[in-house]
Amino acid sequence: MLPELQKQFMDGLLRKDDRVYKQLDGRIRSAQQQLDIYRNSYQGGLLKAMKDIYPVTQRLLGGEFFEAMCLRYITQTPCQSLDINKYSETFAEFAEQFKPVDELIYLSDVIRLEWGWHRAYQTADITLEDFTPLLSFDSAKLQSLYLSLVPSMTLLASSYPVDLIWSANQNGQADTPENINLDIKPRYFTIWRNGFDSHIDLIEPDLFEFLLSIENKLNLGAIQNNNSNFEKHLVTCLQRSYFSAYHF
Amino acid sequence: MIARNPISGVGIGLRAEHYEYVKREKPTTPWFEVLIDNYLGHGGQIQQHLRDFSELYPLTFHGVGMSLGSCDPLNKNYLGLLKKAINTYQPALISDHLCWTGFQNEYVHDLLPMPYTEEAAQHVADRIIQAQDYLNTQILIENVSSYMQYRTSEMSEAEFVAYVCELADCHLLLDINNIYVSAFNHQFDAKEYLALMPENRIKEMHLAGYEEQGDYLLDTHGQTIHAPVWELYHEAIKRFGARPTLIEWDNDIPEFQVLQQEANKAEQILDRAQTHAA
Repeated sequence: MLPELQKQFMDGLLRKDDRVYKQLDGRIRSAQQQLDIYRNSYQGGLLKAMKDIYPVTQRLLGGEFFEAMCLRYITQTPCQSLDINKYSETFAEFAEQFKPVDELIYLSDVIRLEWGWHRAYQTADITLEDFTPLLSFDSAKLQSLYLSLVPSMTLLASSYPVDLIWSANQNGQADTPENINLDIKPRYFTIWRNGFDSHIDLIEPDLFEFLLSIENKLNLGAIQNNNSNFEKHLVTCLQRSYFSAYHF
Repeated sequence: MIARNPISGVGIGLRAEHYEYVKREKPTTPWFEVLIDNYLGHGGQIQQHLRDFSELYPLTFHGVGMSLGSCDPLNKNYLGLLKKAINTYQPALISDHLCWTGFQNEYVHDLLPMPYTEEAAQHVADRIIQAQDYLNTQILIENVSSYMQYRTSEMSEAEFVAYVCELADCHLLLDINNIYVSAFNHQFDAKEYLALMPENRIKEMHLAGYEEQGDYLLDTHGQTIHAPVWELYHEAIKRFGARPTLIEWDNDIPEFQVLQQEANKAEQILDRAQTHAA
Protein backbone atom coordinates (compact mmCIF):
# COMPACT_ATOMS: atom_id res chain seq x y z
CA MET A 1 0.00 0.00 0.00
CA LEU A 2 2.83 2.43 0.87
CA PRO A 3 4.67 1.85 -2.45
CA GLU A 4 1.47 2.46 -4.38
CA LEU A 5 0.83 5.68 -2.48
CA GLN A 6 4.36 6.91 -3.20
CA LYS A 7 4.03 5.97 -6.87
CA GLN A 8 0.74 7.85 -7.17
CA PHE A 9 2.16 10.90 -5.41
CA MET A 10 5.19 11.06 -7.73
CA ASP A 11 2.93 10.63 -10.78
CA GLY A 12 0.71 13.40 -9.46
CA LEU A 13 3.60 15.74 -8.76
CA LEU A 14 5.67 15.10 -11.89
CA ARG A 15 3.10 14.00 -14.46
CA LYS A 16 -0.10 15.66 -13.19
CA ASP A 17 -1.79 12.27 -12.77
CA ASP A 18 -4.79 12.96 -10.50
CA ARG A 19 -5.09 9.41 -9.06
CA VAL A 20 -3.30 10.66 -5.94
CA TYR A 21 -6.15 13.04 -5.13
CA LYS A 22 -8.19 10.26 -3.61
CA GLN A 23 -5.33 9.55 -1.18
CA LEU A 24 -5.40 13.07 0.28
CA ASP A 25 -7.68 14.42 2.97
CA GLY A 26 -9.33 17.49 1.48
CA ARG A 27 -11.21 18.77 4.50
CA ILE A 28 -8.98 21.82 5.11
CA ARG A 29 -7.71 22.47 1.58
CA SER A 30 -8.36 20.59 -1.65
CA ALA A 31 -6.13 17.73 -2.78
CA GLN A 32 -5.06 19.80 -5.77
CA GLN A 33 -4.03 22.72 -3.53
CA GLN A 34 -2.01 20.38 -1.34
CA LEU A 35 -0.21 18.87 -4.32
CA ASP A 36 0.38 22.30 -5.88
CA ILE A 37 2.28 23.44 -2.77
CA TYR A 38 4.68 20.51 -3.17
CA ARG A 39 4.95 20.96 -6.95
CA ASN A 40 5.87 24.63 -6.51
CA SER A 41 8.47 23.71 -3.92
CA TYR A 42 9.93 20.98 -6.16
CA GLN A 43 10.17 23.28 -9.15
CA GLY A 44 11.53 26.14 -7.04
CA GLY A 45 14.31 23.94 -5.65
CA LEU A 46 15.47 22.81 -9.09
CA LEU A 47 15.18 26.34 -10.48
CA LYS A 48 17.40 27.65 -7.67
CA ALA A 49 19.97 24.94 -8.49
CA MET A 50 19.93 25.89 -12.20
CA LYS A 51 20.33 29.60 -11.40
CA ASP A 52 23.46 28.72 -9.45
CA ILE A 53 24.87 26.60 -12.30
CA TYR A 54 24.08 28.92 -15.25
CA PRO A 55 24.70 32.56 -14.25
CA VAL A 56 26.01 33.54 -17.71
CA THR A 57 23.13 31.87 -19.54
CA GLN A 58 20.76 33.69 -17.20
CA ARG A 59 22.46 37.01 -17.96
CA LEU A 60 22.31 36.38 -21.71
CA LEU A 61 18.62 35.49 -21.67
CA GLY A 62 17.39 37.84 -18.94
CA GLY A 63 16.06 36.54 -15.63
CA GLU A 64 12.42 36.17 -16.60
CA PHE A 65 13.05 34.33 -19.87
CA PHE A 66 15.68 32.10 -18.25
CA GLU A 67 13.23 31.09 -15.49
CA ALA A 68 10.50 30.29 -18.01
CA MET A 69 12.92 28.17 -20.06
CA CYS A 70 14.16 26.33 -16.96
CA LEU A 71 10.62 25.63 -15.81
CA ARG A 72 9.81 24.15 -19.21
CA TYR A 73 12.91 21.94 -18.87
CA ILE A 74 12.06 20.99 -15.26
CA THR A 75 8.54 19.97 -16.27
CA GLN A 76 9.95 17.66 -18.96
CA THR A 77 12.93 16.34 -17.02
CA PRO A 78 12.40 14.73 -13.61
CA CYS A 79 15.42 14.79 -11.30
CA GLN A 80 16.97 11.33 -11.31
CA SER A 81 19.82 11.95 -8.90
CA LEU A 82 19.86 12.09 -5.14
CA ASP A 83 22.49 14.82 -5.58
CA ILE A 84 20.72 17.95 -6.82
CA ASN A 85 24.09 19.22 -8.13
CA LYS A 86 23.86 16.58 -10.86
CA TYR A 87 20.58 17.99 -12.20
CA SER A 88 20.37 19.56 -15.68
CA GLU A 89 23.12 17.61 -17.44
CA THR A 90 20.89 17.55 -20.56
CA PHE A 91 19.95 21.25 -20.48
CA ALA A 92 22.19 22.07 -23.47
CA GLU A 93 20.45 19.45 -25.66
CA PHE A 94 17.10 20.86 -24.51
CA ALA A 95 18.24 24.37 -25.49
CA GLU A 96 19.18 23.12 -28.98
CA GLN A 97 15.59 22.01 -29.53
CA PHE A 98 13.97 25.03 -27.84
CA LYS A 99 12.64 27.14 -30.72
CA PRO A 100 12.40 30.52 -28.90
CA VAL A 101 16.23 30.60 -28.59
CA ASP A 102 16.95 29.52 -32.19
CA GLU A 103 18.62 32.83 -32.98
CA LEU A 104 21.10 32.52 -30.11
CA ILE A 105 23.23 30.09 -32.06
CA TYR A 106 25.96 29.97 -29.40
CA LEU A 107 23.63 29.43 -26.42
CA SER A 108 23.75 25.64 -26.11
CA ASP A 109 27.58 25.73 -26.13
CA VAL A 110 27.60 28.43 -23.43
CA ILE A 111 25.36 26.09 -21.41
CA ARG A 112 27.80 23.20 -22.04
CA LEU A 113 30.69 25.35 -20.87
CA GLU A 114 28.85 26.40 -17.69
CA TRP A 115 27.90 22.78 -16.99
CA GLY A 116 31.54 21.73 -17.46
CA TRP A 117 32.68 24.48 -15.07
CA HIS A 118 30.10 23.42 -12.47
CA ARG A 119 31.07 19.76 -12.90
CA ALA A 120 34.77 20.52 -12.50
CA TYR A 121 34.08 22.38 -9.23
CA GLN A 122 31.89 19.60 -7.82
CA THR A 123 33.85 16.48 -8.81
CA ALA A 124 35.41 14.45 -6.01
CA ASP A 125 39.16 14.68 -5.49
CA ILE A 126 41.35 11.82 -6.67
CA THR A 127 44.96 10.86 -6.21
CA LEU A 128 46.80 10.95 -9.54
CA GLU A 129 48.72 7.81 -10.41
CA ASP A 130 52.51 8.04 -10.64
CA PHE A 131 53.35 8.18 -14.36
CA THR A 132 57.15 7.92 -14.04
CA PRO A 133 57.13 4.13 -14.76
CA LEU A 134 55.99 5.00 -18.30
CA LEU A 135 59.50 6.30 -18.98
CA SER A 136 60.90 2.78 -18.69
CA PHE A 137 58.27 1.10 -20.94
CA ASP A 138 59.41 -0.10 -24.35
CA SER A 139 57.51 0.93 -27.46
CA ALA A 140 55.38 -2.24 -27.66
CA LYS A 141 54.30 -1.89 -24.02
CA LEU A 142 53.46 1.80 -24.48
CA GLN A 143 51.34 1.02 -27.54
CA SER A 144 49.09 -1.28 -25.54
CA LEU A 145 48.56 1.28 -22.79
CA TYR A 146 45.23 2.98 -22.00
CA LEU A 147 45.05 6.34 -20.20
CA SER A 148 42.20 7.91 -18.19
CA LEU A 149 41.39 11.62 -18.18
CA VAL A 150 40.98 13.29 -14.78
CA PRO A 151 37.30 12.85 -13.79
CA SER A 152 36.66 16.59 -13.56
CA MET A 153 37.46 17.07 -17.28
CA THR A 154 34.93 18.04 -19.95
CA LEU A 155 35.98 18.28 -23.60
CA LEU A 156 34.13 20.94 -25.56
CA ALA A 157 34.31 21.85 -29.26
CA SER A 158 32.37 24.93 -30.34
CA SER A 159 31.91 26.90 -33.54
CA TYR A 160 31.61 30.03 -31.40
CA PRO A 161 33.91 31.92 -28.99
CA VAL A 162 31.99 30.74 -25.94
CA ASP A 163 35.05 31.27 -23.76
CA LEU A 164 35.05 34.97 -24.67
CA ILE A 165 31.30 35.23 -24.06
CA TRP A 166 31.78 33.52 -20.69
CA SER A 167 34.74 35.74 -19.71
CA ALA A 168 32.87 38.90 -20.69
CA ASN A 169 30.13 37.97 -18.22
CA GLN A 170 32.23 37.32 -15.12
CA ASN A 171 32.69 39.43 -11.99
CA GLY A 172 29.69 41.62 -12.56
CA GLN A 173 30.60 42.42 -16.18
CA ALA A 174 27.83 41.95 -18.70
CA ASP A 175 28.89 42.17 -22.30
CA THR A 176 26.46 41.19 -25.00
CA PRO A 177 27.65 38.75 -27.65
CA GLU A 178 26.87 41.50 -30.19
CA ASN A 179 30.18 43.04 -29.14
CA ILE A 180 32.08 39.80 -29.68
CA ASN A 181 33.03 38.63 -33.14
CA LEU A 182 31.21 35.32 -33.59
CA ASP A 183 32.66 34.73 -37.04
CA ILE A 184 35.84 32.94 -36.06
CA LYS A 185 37.25 29.45 -36.45
CA PRO A 186 35.91 26.60 -34.30
CA ARG A 187 37.46 26.52 -30.84
CA TYR A 188 38.40 23.56 -28.65
CA PHE A 189 38.53 23.46 -24.86
CA THR A 190 39.30 21.39 -21.84
CA ILE A 191 37.33 22.39 -18.73
CA TRP A 192 38.80 20.81 -15.62
CA ARG A 193 40.05 21.31 -12.08
CA ASN A 194 43.55 20.96 -10.65
CA GLY A 195 43.52 21.20 -6.85
CA PHE A 196 41.29 24.16 -5.96
CA ASP A 197 41.61 25.86 -9.34
CA SER A 198 39.19 25.28 -12.21
CA HIS A 199 40.48 25.96 -15.73
CA ILE A 200 39.12 26.54 -19.22
CA ASP A 201 42.06 25.78 -21.54
CA LEU A 202 41.83 26.78 -25.18
CA ILE A 203 43.66 23.95 -27.01
CA GLU A 204 44.74 23.05 -30.54
CA PRO A 205 42.30 20.97 -32.65
CA ASP A 206 44.86 18.19 -32.91
CA LEU A 207 45.29 17.97 -29.13
CA PHE A 208 41.50 17.93 -28.79
CA GLU A 209 41.34 14.92 -31.14
CA PHE A 210 44.06 13.22 -29.08
CA LEU A 211 42.09 13.76 -25.84
CA LEU A 212 38.87 12.64 -27.49
CA SER A 213 40.59 9.36 -28.46
CA ILE A 214 41.67 8.89 -24.83
CA GLU A 215 38.10 9.57 -23.69
CA ASN A 216 36.82 7.06 -26.24
CA LYS A 217 39.08 4.43 -24.68
CA LEU A 218 41.51 3.87 -27.56
CA ASN A 219 44.94 2.54 -26.62
CA LEU A 220 48.08 4.58 -27.34
CA GLY A 221 48.95 2.40 -30.35
CA ALA A 222 45.67 3.22 -32.09
CA ILE A 223 45.98 6.92 -31.20
CA GLN A 224 49.56 7.12 -32.49
CA ASN A 225 48.49 5.74 -35.87
CA ASN A 226 46.02 8.60 -36.32
CA ASN A 227 47.89 11.52 -34.77
CA SER A 228 51.16 12.85 -36.16
CA ASN A 229 51.82 14.96 -33.02
CA PHE A 230 51.29 12.02 -30.70
CA GLU A 231 54.48 12.38 -28.64
CA LYS A 232 54.16 16.13 -28.26
CA HIS A 233 50.55 15.79 -27.05
CA LEU A 234 51.42 13.01 -24.64
CA VAL A 235 54.08 15.16 -22.99
CA THR A 236 51.80 18.22 -22.89
CA CYS A 237 49.01 16.25 -21.21
CA LEU A 238 51.37 14.73 -18.64
CA GLN A 239 52.80 18.17 -17.86
CA ARG A 240 49.32 19.64 -17.40
CA SER A 241 48.10 16.69 -15.25
CA TYR A 242 45.27 15.88 -17.67
CA PHE A 243 45.57 12.15 -16.88
CA SER A 244 44.56 10.40 -13.68
CA ALA A 245 45.60 6.79 -14.31
CA TYR A 246 46.80 4.21 -16.80
CA HIS A 247 46.14 0.52 -17.37
CA PHE A 248 46.75 -2.20 -19.96
CA MET B 1 26.93 2.02 18.99
CA ILE B 2 29.53 4.77 19.29
CA ALA B 3 28.83 7.51 21.88
CA ARG B 4 29.41 10.99 20.52
CA ASN B 5 30.85 14.10 22.18
CA PRO B 6 28.11 16.23 23.77
CA ILE B 7 27.28 19.77 22.66
CA SER B 8 25.19 22.44 24.35
CA GLY B 9 23.91 25.94 23.78
CA VAL B 10 22.71 27.47 20.54
CA GLY B 11 24.43 26.58 17.29
CA ILE B 12 24.00 28.06 13.83
CA GLY B 13 23.45 26.39 10.47
CA LEU B 14 26.63 26.93 8.43
CA ARG B 15 25.98 28.35 4.95
CA ALA B 16 28.42 29.18 2.14
CA GLU B 17 27.53 32.88 2.41
CA HIS B 18 29.14 32.96 5.87
CA TYR B 19 32.25 30.80 5.27
CA GLU B 20 34.65 33.69 4.98
CA TYR B 21 33.18 35.64 7.90
CA VAL B 22 33.28 32.65 10.24
CA LYS B 23 36.85 31.75 9.28
CA ARG B 24 38.00 35.36 9.69
CA GLU B 25 36.08 36.44 12.80
CA LYS B 26 35.78 33.06 14.57
CA PRO B 27 32.53 33.97 16.38
CA THR B 28 31.82 32.47 19.80
CA THR B 29 29.08 30.22 18.40
CA PRO B 30 29.42 26.96 20.39
CA TRP B 31 28.84 24.66 17.41
CA PHE B 32 27.75 24.62 13.77
CA GLU B 33 25.47 22.33 11.83
CA VAL B 34 26.53 21.44 8.29
CA LEU B 35 24.15 20.27 5.58
CA ILE B 36 26.26 17.21 4.98
CA ASP B 37 24.71 16.26 1.62
CA ASN B 38 26.39 19.34 0.10
CA TYR B 39 29.82 17.90 0.89
CA LEU B 40 29.48 14.16 0.23
CA GLY B 41 31.26 12.98 -2.90
CA HIS B 42 32.56 16.46 -3.72
CA GLY B 43 36.16 17.66 -3.76
CA GLY B 44 38.35 20.74 -3.98
CA GLN B 45 37.32 23.79 -2.00
CA ILE B 46 34.07 22.16 -0.88
CA GLN B 47 35.95 19.50 1.10
CA GLN B 48 38.52 22.00 2.29
CA HIS B 49 35.80 24.15 3.89
CA LEU B 50 34.54 21.12 5.82
CA ARG B 51 38.07 20.31 6.98
CA ASP B 52 38.63 23.92 8.06
CA PHE B 53 35.41 24.21 10.05
CA SER B 54 35.89 20.83 11.71
CA GLU B 55 39.16 22.16 13.12
CA LEU B 56 37.53 25.35 14.41
CA TYR B 57 34.20 24.15 15.88
CA PRO B 58 32.25 21.09 16.98
CA LEU B 59 30.00 20.10 14.07
CA THR B 60 26.70 18.32 13.69
CA PHE B 61 25.69 16.64 10.42
CA HIS B 62 22.18 17.20 9.07
CA GLY B 63 21.00 15.51 5.88
CA VAL B 64 18.02 14.70 3.69
CA GLY B 65 19.62 11.96 1.61
CA MET B 66 18.64 8.90 3.62
CA SER B 67 15.01 9.27 2.47
CA LEU B 68 14.10 7.10 5.45
CA GLY B 69 10.41 6.79 4.55
CA SER B 70 10.90 5.87 0.88
CA CYS B 71 9.96 2.45 -0.48
CA ASP B 72 13.16 2.38 -2.56
CA PRO B 73 16.04 0.37 -1.11
CA LEU B 74 18.30 2.40 1.20
CA ASN B 75 20.96 4.15 -0.87
CA LYS B 76 24.14 2.29 0.11
CA ASN B 77 26.36 4.66 -1.86
CA TYR B 78 25.03 7.64 0.10
CA LEU B 79 25.31 5.80 3.41
CA GLY B 80 28.87 4.77 2.56
CA LEU B 81 29.89 8.37 1.88
CA LEU B 82 28.12 9.52 5.05
CA LYS B 83 29.86 6.86 7.14
CA LYS B 84 33.22 7.91 5.77
CA ALA B 85 32.49 11.57 6.63
CA ILE B 86 31.33 10.58 10.14
CA ASN B 87 34.53 8.63 10.73
CA THR B 88 36.64 11.51 9.43
CA TYR B 89 34.99 14.44 11.18
CA GLN B 90 33.35 12.84 14.24
CA PRO B 91 30.24 15.04 14.34
CA ALA B 92 28.49 15.48 17.69
CA LEU B 93 25.08 14.57 16.21
CA ILE B 94 23.85 13.02 12.94
CA SER B 95 20.30 13.77 11.87
CA ASP B 96 17.91 13.24 8.99
CA HIS B 97 14.14 13.60 8.55
CA LEU B 98 11.06 11.51 9.22
CA CYS B 99 9.94 11.68 5.60
CA TRP B 100 10.59 10.41 2.09
CA THR B 101 12.16 12.41 -0.73
CA GLY B 102 11.68 10.28 -3.83
CA PHE B 103 10.63 6.95 -5.30
CA GLN B 104 11.83 4.72 -8.15
CA ASN B 105 14.88 6.90 -8.90
CA GLU B 106 12.95 10.15 -9.14
CA TYR B 107 13.82 12.69 -6.47
CA VAL B 108 11.89 15.77 -5.39
CA HIS B 109 14.54 17.12 -2.95
CA ASP B 110 11.71 18.02 -0.62
CA LEU B 111 10.53 16.55 2.68
CA LEU B 112 7.40 14.53 1.94
CA PRO B 113 5.38 13.46 4.97
CA MET B 114 4.49 9.85 5.72
CA PRO B 115 0.95 8.59 6.14
CA TYR B 116 0.54 8.05 9.89
CA THR B 117 -0.20 4.33 9.74
CA GLU B 118 1.10 1.20 11.43
CA GLU B 119 2.53 0.01 8.09
CA ALA B 120 4.42 3.27 7.53
CA ALA B 121 5.72 3.35 11.12
CA GLN B 122 7.08 -0.21 10.86
CA HIS B 123 8.57 0.53 7.44
CA VAL B 124 10.40 3.70 8.42
CA ALA B 125 11.50 2.32 11.81
CA ASP B 126 13.01 -0.72 10.10
CA ARG B 127 15.00 1.56 7.78
CA ILE B 128 16.19 3.76 10.67
CA ILE B 129 17.42 0.62 12.42
CA GLN B 130 19.26 -0.46 9.25
CA ALA B 131 20.85 2.98 8.90
CA GLN B 132 21.89 3.09 12.56
CA ASP B 133 23.38 -0.40 12.35
CA TYR B 134 25.31 0.52 9.21
CA LEU B 135 26.56 3.83 10.61
CA ASN B 136 27.18 2.25 14.01
CA THR B 137 25.60 5.21 15.78
CA GLN B 138 22.19 6.38 16.89
CA ILE B 139 20.75 9.08 14.68
CA LEU B 140 18.21 11.84 15.29
CA ILE B 141 15.11 12.06 13.15
CA GLU B 142 13.41 15.40 12.62
CA ASN B 143 9.67 16.05 12.46
CA VAL B 144 8.93 17.82 9.14
CA SER B 145 6.53 20.63 8.32
CA SER B 146 3.74 19.46 6.04
CA TYR B 147 1.12 20.77 3.65
CA MET B 148 -0.87 17.61 2.99
CA GLN B 149 -2.65 14.92 4.95
CA TYR B 150 -3.44 11.39 3.89
CA ARG B 151 -6.91 9.89 4.22
CA THR B 152 -5.36 6.62 5.40
CA SER B 153 -3.68 8.06 8.53
CA GLU B 154 -4.63 6.10 11.64
CA MET B 155 -2.96 8.28 14.28
CA SER B 156 -1.89 11.88 14.80
CA GLU B 157 1.49 13.14 13.60
CA ALA B 158 2.69 13.49 17.20
CA GLU B 159 1.69 9.90 18.01
CA PHE B 160 3.44 8.73 14.83
CA VAL B 161 6.68 10.57 15.63
CA ALA B 162 6.80 9.20 19.19
CA TYR B 163 5.91 5.68 18.03
CA VAL B 164 8.62 5.59 15.33
CA CYS B 165 11.27 6.81 17.81
CA GLU B 166 10.28 4.02 20.18
CA LEU B 167 10.22 1.31 17.48
CA ALA B 168 13.58 2.35 16.02
CA ASP B 169 15.23 3.28 19.32
CA CYS B 170 16.47 6.50 17.76
CA HIS B 171 16.75 10.07 18.98
CA LEU B 172 14.54 13.01 18.09
CA LEU B 173 15.41 16.37 16.60
CA LEU B 174 12.40 18.43 17.56
CA ASP B 175 11.85 21.22 15.03
CA ILE B 176 9.72 23.78 16.86
CA ASN B 177 9.00 25.83 13.74
CA ASN B 178 7.84 22.71 11.90
CA ILE B 179 5.42 21.86 14.69
CA TYR B 180 3.97 25.37 14.56
CA VAL B 181 3.72 25.41 10.75
CA SER B 182 2.02 22.00 10.59
CA ALA B 183 -0.27 22.86 13.51
CA PHE B 184 -1.40 25.99 11.67
CA ASN B 185 -1.79 24.20 8.33
CA HIS B 186 -3.67 21.21 9.72
CA GLN B 187 -5.44 22.93 12.59
CA PHE B 188 -4.11 20.95 15.54
CA ASP B 189 -2.86 22.15 18.92
CA ALA B 190 0.92 22.59 18.96
CA LYS B 191 1.12 22.35 22.76
CA GLU B 192 -0.75 19.04 22.73
CA TYR B 193 1.81 17.86 20.16
CA LEU B 194 4.65 18.78 22.54
CA ALA B 195 2.97 16.87 25.36
CA LEU B 196 3.23 13.64 23.33
CA MET B 197 6.95 13.95 22.53
CA PRO B 198 9.32 11.44 24.18
CA GLU B 199 11.35 13.70 26.49
CA ASN B 200 14.32 11.39 26.93
CA ARG B 201 14.83 11.02 23.17
CA ILE B 202 14.95 14.74 22.34
CA LYS B 203 18.62 15.55 21.73
CA GLU B 204 18.31 18.76 19.71
CA MET B 205 15.80 21.43 18.68
CA HIS B 206 15.57 23.55 15.53
CA LEU B 207 14.28 27.10 15.17
CA ALA B 208 13.60 28.94 11.90
CA GLY B 209 11.31 31.44 10.23
CA TYR B 210 8.26 30.63 8.13
CA GLU B 211 6.44 32.59 5.44
CA GLU B 212 2.72 33.39 5.36
CA GLN B 213 1.12 32.22 2.10
CA GLY B 214 -2.49 33.25 2.45
CA ASP B 215 -4.30 30.39 4.16
CA TYR B 216 -1.20 28.37 5.02
CA LEU B 217 2.34 28.79 6.36
CA LEU B 218 5.40 27.73 4.36
CA ASP B 219 8.59 26.57 6.09
CA THR B 220 11.01 28.70 4.06
CA HIS B 221 13.78 29.35 6.61
CA GLY B 222 13.98 32.82 5.11
CA GLN B 223 12.98 35.17 7.94
CA THR B 224 13.57 35.84 11.61
CA ILE B 225 11.80 33.46 13.97
CA HIS B 226 8.16 34.44 14.52
CA ALA B 227 6.69 35.25 17.93
CA PRO B 228 4.43 32.16 18.19
CA VAL B 229 7.46 29.92 17.47
CA TRP B 230 9.45 31.62 20.24
CA GLU B 231 6.49 31.06 22.55
CA LEU B 232 6.33 27.38 21.60
CA TYR B 233 10.09 27.03 22.07
CA HIS B 234 9.79 28.55 25.53
CA GLU B 235 7.06 26.03 26.30
CA ALA B 236 9.23 23.16 25.00
CA ILE B 237 12.23 24.20 27.11
CA LYS B 238 10.02 24.55 30.18
CA ARG B 239 8.65 21.05 29.58
CA PHE B 240 11.82 19.21 28.53
CA GLY B 241 14.66 21.34 29.89
CA ALA B 242 17.55 22.83 27.93
CA ARG B 243 18.50 21.11 24.68
CA PRO B 244 21.13 22.02 22.05
CA THR B 245 19.24 24.35 19.73
CA LEU B 246 19.97 25.38 16.16
CA ILE B 247 19.13 28.56 14.24
CA GLU B 248 18.40 27.64 10.59
CA TRP B 249 18.32 30.08 7.67
CA ASP B 250 18.30 28.91 4.03
CA ASN B 251 16.74 31.58 1.82
CA ASP B 252 17.51 35.30 1.50
CA ILE B 253 20.42 34.67 3.84
CA PRO B 254 21.31 37.81 5.84
CA GLU B 255 24.60 38.82 7.46
CA PHE B 256 25.91 36.42 10.07
CA GLN B 257 25.17 38.89 12.88
CA VAL B 258 21.42 38.55 12.24
CA LEU B 259 21.68 34.83 12.94
CA GLN B 260 23.77 35.58 16.01
CA GLN B 261 21.02 37.86 17.32
CA GLU B 262 18.50 35.05 16.91
CA ALA B 263 20.91 32.68 18.66
CA ASN B 264 21.27 35.16 21.54
CA LYS B 265 17.49 35.21 21.99
CA ALA B 266 17.38 31.42 22.15
CA GLU B 267 20.35 31.41 24.53
CA GLN B 268 18.46 33.70 26.91
CA ILE B 269 15.52 31.30 26.97
CA LEU B 270 17.88 28.39 27.66
CA ASP B 271 19.64 30.36 30.42
CA ARG B 272 16.36 31.27 32.10
CA ALA B 273 15.28 27.62 32.05
CA GLN B 274 18.58 26.50 33.59
CA THR B 275 18.41 29.20 36.30
CA HIS B 276 14.84 28.19 37.08
CA ALA B 277 15.80 24.50 37.25
CA ALA B 278 18.67 25.30 39.65
